[in-house]
Amino acid sequence: MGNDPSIESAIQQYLDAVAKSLANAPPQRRDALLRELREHVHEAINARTSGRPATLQDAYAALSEMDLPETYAEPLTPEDGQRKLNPKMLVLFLLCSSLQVAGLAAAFAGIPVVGAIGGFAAIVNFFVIWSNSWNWRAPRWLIRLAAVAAACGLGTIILEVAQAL
Amino acid sequence: MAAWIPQLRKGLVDFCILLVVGSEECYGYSLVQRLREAPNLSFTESTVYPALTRLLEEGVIRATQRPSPMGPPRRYLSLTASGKRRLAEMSNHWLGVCSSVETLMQALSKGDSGGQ
Repeated sequence: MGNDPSIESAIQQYLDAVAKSLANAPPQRRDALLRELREHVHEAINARTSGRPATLQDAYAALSEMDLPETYAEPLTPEDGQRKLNPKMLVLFLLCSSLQVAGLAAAFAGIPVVGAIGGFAAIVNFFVIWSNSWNWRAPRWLIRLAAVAAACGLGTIILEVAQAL
Repeated sequence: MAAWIPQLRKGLVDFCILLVVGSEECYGYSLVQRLREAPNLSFTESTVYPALTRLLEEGVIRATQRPSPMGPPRRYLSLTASGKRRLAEMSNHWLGVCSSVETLMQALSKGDSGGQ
């Protein structure tokens, strides 16, 4: 059964659609799930054929009884499902982080206006982190990155204040 | 179907998988079939496999590959020591939950009959 290329192609088409719906899942877990599913489809086809050679129709019939590929996209764990990236927040974060880097460099170079903008960006980024943690539910890596950026920005403010004094 | 039913099922999927794997020799397909046939649960692949994959990753369930009488080799599932512990904890908790809900339902039925 497993050697028929048309059957394997039909199975692969279903698995590809499942993989697409699991694009945000951890790769290792997604691959393990796809392996389990592939075995499941083979067993489902075997159960239909009861020993006779399987046909493409058997494969389609078995696949049609399975859940739709997009239904696998539901959270693999409660944590995975809750944390989704907000594109607007990402833009804001990248903008603030860029300003912070420029502000930090300006503070070292003794350019107060740009340094002040960097410091302001640090404050905005602080709220970005706060919002992500409680409302926007960003992925953990982004929150950590924002924390590092905000720390740099706060360093800019301290440097600015120290230079002003 | 009411929206709360799938939510309730989702909360039970780990427990039900551990119950089946702990009670009989099974592999992915037979596990899904067993859970699909359970009245009022009707778990399907898209519910079972993500949970099963996670339980395998957590080391609660282990898979051992063995030849199949037909088709490719099967990965038979069994509980690890931590899986057995978790199943025991879940079973105890479940019994406690059932008991509490039962008590609440009895109180409700008494209230209903008292009010009539």
